[in-house]
Amino acid sequence: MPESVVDINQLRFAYSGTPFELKLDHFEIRDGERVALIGPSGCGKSTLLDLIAGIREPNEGSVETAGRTMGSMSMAQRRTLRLESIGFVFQEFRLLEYLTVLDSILLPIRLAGQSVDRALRERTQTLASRAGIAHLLKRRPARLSQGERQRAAICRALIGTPSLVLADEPTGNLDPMTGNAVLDLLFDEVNKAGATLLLVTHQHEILPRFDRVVDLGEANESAGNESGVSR
Amino acid sequence: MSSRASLHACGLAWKHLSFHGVRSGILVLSLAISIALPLVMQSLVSRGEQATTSRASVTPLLLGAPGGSVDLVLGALWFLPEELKTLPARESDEINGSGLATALPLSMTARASGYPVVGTDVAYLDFRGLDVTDGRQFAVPGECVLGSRVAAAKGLAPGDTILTDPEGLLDIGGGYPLRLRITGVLAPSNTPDDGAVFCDLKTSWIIAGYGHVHVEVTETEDPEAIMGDNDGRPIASSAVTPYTELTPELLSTLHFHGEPEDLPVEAIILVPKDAKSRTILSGRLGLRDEVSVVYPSEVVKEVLDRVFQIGALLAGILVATGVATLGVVLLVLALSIRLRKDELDTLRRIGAPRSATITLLLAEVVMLAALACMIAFAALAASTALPADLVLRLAT
Repeated sequence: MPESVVDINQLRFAYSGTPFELKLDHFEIRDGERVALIGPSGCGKSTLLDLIAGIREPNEGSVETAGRTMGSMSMAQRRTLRLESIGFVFQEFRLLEYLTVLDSILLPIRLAGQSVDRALRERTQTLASRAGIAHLLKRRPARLSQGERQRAAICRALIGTPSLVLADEPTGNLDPMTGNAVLDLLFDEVNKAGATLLLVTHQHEILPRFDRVVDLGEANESAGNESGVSR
Repeated sequence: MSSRASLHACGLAWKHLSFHGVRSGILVLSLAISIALPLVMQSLVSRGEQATTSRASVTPLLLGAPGGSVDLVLGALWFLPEELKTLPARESDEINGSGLATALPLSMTARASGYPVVGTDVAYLDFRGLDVTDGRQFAVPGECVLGSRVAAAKGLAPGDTILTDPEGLLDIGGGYPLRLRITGVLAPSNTPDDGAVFCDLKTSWIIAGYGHVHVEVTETEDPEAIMGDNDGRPIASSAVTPYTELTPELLSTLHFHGEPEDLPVEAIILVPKDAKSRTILSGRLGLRDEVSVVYPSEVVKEVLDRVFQIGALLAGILVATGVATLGVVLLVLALSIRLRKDELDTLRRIGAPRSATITLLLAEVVMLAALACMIAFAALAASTALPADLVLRLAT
């Protein structure tokens, strides 16, 4: 049986001063799984991604990501874990406006203090070619279409060969056709990298593409076992 | 954070500054001006003080008509266009005759192409250590030597001529401008002498209208100069030459209305033979009401004290402005960080070390400050090319 990439137990999280509360008794994602996270707005899907990535700390319970227990790690160690083992894809792309596509893709590598050697340059080129943006490497985000921006963001998330990819509504800002193409790219690259995918979405028509679907709204309400729709 | 990551954070900072080039440029210029202004001001004042003091200190005594001693010093040492009262040239002869000092008369009322024309003795050039690098000194009326700045600005050399400026364009009865023959160009001295035209006293008197030559209209080469004949006397046409030139042929007709020793000079530089002569001379001249003897170094000290009072006030204002500008720049940077909240949050989510984010922001501030300092110091270096006596000129 594959190892757990994400293992959450007895999780309780609340934003101070708000009635919001995320309760999850147990949630687990196995290595190589492709999991969709659905649920109504405000049920805590993005918050859960933040907790898994160590951006936020739970009030109670434990979060284990890529074999590391977040509660026992310092903030700096959690940042390093994100940089080395987790790839983030955001709904609003979050490309830095002053960086070219090439610089954007290589950003995590450079932030980690790694040198950009020939092999990495070739990998960047291959990744960009497969994403269909190899001819746009010198352009800045302002001169890219929405779909091209998300493709660049996916390349940035995958350049460091992460073991876990967290995607927060990556097709939310794209038209259906572009969205499907971007999903194709994301699935292909995750498969090629042998990574695990946790993707937040509101688009039920794409759910059949996942190994498993988790409805966080139900899970949160029941605060019982890992629940929701599963395939 | 590794040194490579720090370097990359600096690279990100540079890319951000370059992307927002206009904003960065405005910030750099604002900072540069705030830094440069007090430095340049301080430098100019300091160099001005040095240059002014040194010129005054090598001019032992100055004789002029009674009146403002500051105007007399500024006129005689810096040829500033002050309306000075005059004293007769005889004073100069008498002092030379006394054997107590060498007298160097100065007549500075005329201008040529906007530059002061200084009528004096060739001994003035020796006194100031002014060497003629090209050509020779002036020898006869109608000749002149140019200060280096005049020659460079007008592109003139020995053998060329320069016209004096008309005293009044609407004064049709006034004297014509005089065309001066240039016999030499002085070596640069970084003093007001570089911006002057030197000739002998007689030439300056002719320009002022105290002397003239007679031109025979029948001997001119211009066929249109004679309009007709009236009982054997030629009638000159209006096609007259709009200037006078003292050719060797005309010099024999040169004459002055009155005795040359009665003609005016604006100032006389006195170079006493020794300290005793200086004391005797200043004592004797100090007793006379019709002349005024001044010590240029003392007068200049008074002027500089006044200039520096204004300079100190100005420096205070500049420092206050600089502090205000720095405040605005810091505010802009603080607002910029707030505007970059999403960018910084993205870096945090990707996993950028906190030190990388801090390095990114600090590097931008350091780069802006470094660029501003480079521009400021370049401006400071460039300011050394300005005339050393600029502050005194501006202040007066």
